[in-house]
Amino acid sequence: MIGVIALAATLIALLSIYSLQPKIAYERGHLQAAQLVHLARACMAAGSCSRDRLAELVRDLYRFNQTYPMRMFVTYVERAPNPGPAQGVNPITVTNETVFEVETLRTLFTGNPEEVRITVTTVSERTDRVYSKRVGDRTYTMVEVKVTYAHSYSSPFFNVTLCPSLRALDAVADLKRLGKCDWLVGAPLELSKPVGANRYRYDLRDEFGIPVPVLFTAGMPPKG
Amino acid sequence: MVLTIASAYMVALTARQSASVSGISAQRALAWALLNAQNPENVTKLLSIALNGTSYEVYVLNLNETVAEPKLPFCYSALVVNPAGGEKKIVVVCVGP
Repeated sequence: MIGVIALAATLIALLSIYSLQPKIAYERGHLQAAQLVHLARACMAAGSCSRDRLAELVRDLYRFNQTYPMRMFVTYVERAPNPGPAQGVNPITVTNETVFEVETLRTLFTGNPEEVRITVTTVSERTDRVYSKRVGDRTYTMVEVKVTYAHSYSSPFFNVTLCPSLRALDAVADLKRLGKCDWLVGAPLELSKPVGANRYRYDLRDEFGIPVPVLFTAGMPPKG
Repeated sequence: MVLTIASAYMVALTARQSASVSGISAQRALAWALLNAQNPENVTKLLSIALNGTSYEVYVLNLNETVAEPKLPFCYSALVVNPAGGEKKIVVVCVGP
């Protein structure tokens, strides 16, 4: 009995004085996929994001992991985020896709790498409304466009859709959030760039600093 | 008496374990913060929301810095690139009892 009591007392004493030693935990999966999403967004925010630039950021990740190891699945940049061609007339859709191929544990069995895919979609639909706006001593022709803007992240570990907030780079544009991913934009025609026949582009930025192309046609909006 | 002492030991052990956040939770918290944040400051803010009520510490480091002596045992880190200017930082979150 005394022995048992002594043992129990010793265990309690040990528990109270036990000090923790730092350990580095190795992580794959969720954190790596989220890290790749973050890097792709940062690359897009920098402006022109080439495959080389994105691969350089992934190399930085490996380099930094040697300092603070986060064991990673082998990762390849399959597609850098170059906006695809504008599709449609009204609405006009621009899809910007980044794809990483990751050799996960499943790859060991199937031989096929898995994907981390970042899709940024902008849908611009012109309304019939055109109005004037005076800012300082200038008067602008404002073209109203309904914009749907979303980020979609898919990976073996999570599927997430975000509706980032938008901001204008000047004090002229009008911006109103209609719903989660839906916005009403008053784009100043004089500050928009002509891109092709009768089509204009006005750039906003999302909360991650990524350019958001608002595309519209001058004159009355065509249908379809 | 033996039972009393043994149960006291188990209570103390359980309390200690429940006071710590699991490594998985911390990884997910950092992943969630990375998905939603724009810069290291926001990653830190989101981590404080995700790990509210648990024992954790966060470090924001330059690329060549390391945490000399983390007070908590399990550390997870992320490379955070600030879209404004492209500055790179390492955010480390350490958790444990």
